[in-house]
Amino acid sequence: MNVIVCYKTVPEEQDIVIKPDHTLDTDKAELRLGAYDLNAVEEGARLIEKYGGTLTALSVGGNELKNRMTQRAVLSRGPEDLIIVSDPELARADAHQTAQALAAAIKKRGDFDLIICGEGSSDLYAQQVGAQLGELLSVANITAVNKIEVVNKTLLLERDLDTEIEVVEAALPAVLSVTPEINCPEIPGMKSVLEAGKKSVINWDLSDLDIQPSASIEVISTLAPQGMQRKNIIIEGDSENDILEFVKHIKTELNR
Amino acid sequence: MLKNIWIFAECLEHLAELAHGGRNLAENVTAVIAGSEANAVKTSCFGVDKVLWIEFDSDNKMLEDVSDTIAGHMKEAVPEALLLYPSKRTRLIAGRMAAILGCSAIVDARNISQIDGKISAEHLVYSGLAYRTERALKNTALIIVNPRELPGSHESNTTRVGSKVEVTASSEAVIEKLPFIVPKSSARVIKRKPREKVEINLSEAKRVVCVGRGLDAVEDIAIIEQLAHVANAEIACTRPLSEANGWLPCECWIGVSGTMLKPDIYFGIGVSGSMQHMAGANRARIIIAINNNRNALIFRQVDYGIVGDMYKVVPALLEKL
Repeated sequence: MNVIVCYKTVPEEQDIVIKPDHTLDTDKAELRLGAYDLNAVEEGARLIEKYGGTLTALSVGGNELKNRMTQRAVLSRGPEDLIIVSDPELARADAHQTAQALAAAIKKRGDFDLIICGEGSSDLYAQQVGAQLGELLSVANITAVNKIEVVNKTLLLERDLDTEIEVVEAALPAVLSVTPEINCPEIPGMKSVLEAGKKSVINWDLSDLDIQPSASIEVISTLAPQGMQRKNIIIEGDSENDILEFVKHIKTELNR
Repeated sequence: MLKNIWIFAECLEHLAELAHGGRNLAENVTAVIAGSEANAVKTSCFGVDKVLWIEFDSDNKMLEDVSDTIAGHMKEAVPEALLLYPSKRTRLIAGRMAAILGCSAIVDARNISQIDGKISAEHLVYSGLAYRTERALKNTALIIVNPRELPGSHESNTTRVGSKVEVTASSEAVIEKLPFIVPKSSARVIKRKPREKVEINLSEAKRVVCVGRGLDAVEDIAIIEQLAHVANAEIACTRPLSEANGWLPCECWIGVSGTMLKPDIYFGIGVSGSMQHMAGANRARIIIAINNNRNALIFRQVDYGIVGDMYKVVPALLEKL
């Protein structure tokens, strides 16, 4: 099987600074792989181990993709090679632009059997890119996949939906978006990390793909919410009297 | 006020809720329903102006196969927006339609409004750290939105009977049948089985008692349940307590990837208050916390907090409330 796993490089949330005007400063945030993308990479690696084949990682975005640490991080998790489409025009790409760039890169690379995406990006979490990509490539397009088996070149999938489990049969090739519960990503060993540094990384930009995807969504602002005014009455201890005071406050609120 | 919007949901109950909320957003509301004729007739009583019916038997087909049909007809009718009720399936439908229409959906929208004649909405990003205001540039906006985020959702002509919504209809709307457009690719559904059913409707709860990793043992959930009972609240938990420990079903977890709440009162018991969790709870009118760690993040945004042992405080509450 010829499998491609897609991922996104995102800023570490804990490092994001909220400025006094409520805008965000991500400049000092360390870059890491999207949390849900780890499940996609892990599932790709497991399928290759089980059924044989090749595994390629793919990402599209801005300059952040050139970060060697995250490149190595993804390659240490199993893929043999990595393709990045890094272009300033894609730095703030919306779901449609991202899916268009992924589709173009996949077509340029050649044939594939399976493309695996995570549930959503861990920064924007719109959960739309996988769904759009399958449609753009005109192949079977299935999300919320919680289990993947390949029987006679046919996919047997379990979808974890809101109120039911749906068992689906689909022909290859396909684009699948997997749930965070499908597996528990392993932490790569030292050997894998060292080997990752030697794997090949192909660098493309939009001119290599010959596309100029235009935005369909304009981002007006990204602002931390005005926190609600809280009373901030904190009782610093759990003596009988402390608890009585706490109870008094709660009773007042419960009876409002 | 918008002129024309379409609405779509997986089931009738959700469609009825969107119909009601959509009324306050647009002059004309068209409901799109995929399924039997009987369901199309029911939809016509939801107080909408028109019903577009896709005859669809989902026995061995994915519901998402209707994406091409809705998108195809939307290209001609050009409503200002299609509102979709949030679910796993509608997320895929929105993505497929967006790819067909050449746009991007706005998901989990809040505060839908208009900027320079184009629809805009807010969407939570960075695990709840910020709201991003997005403006749809194409003629039709695809918006995944929970009806309770639509204007006037608190005043209601719908009455809740258990989990069913009954709508008092003004009159029946016209039903128009949409010819089915065969999708480019499809998959076959072999079987469906119900998920273990958990009767919880946290997002509607007025009071929530949420327990976190401060809980020592699974048996101790009993005292939390008692407190929830005494306070007339629903029980909830943080993600690790459900996902890693498996002590409560995942329907109970609050946070960006779980349920987003807007209760009157939220109790956090042994909850550290991570950003991802608090994003789901911080719209509560009153936040109350019990935690033995004075530095727990939850104390930065509480109304009433007590720095103490939950195993001492909770039994006291049970006795005195």
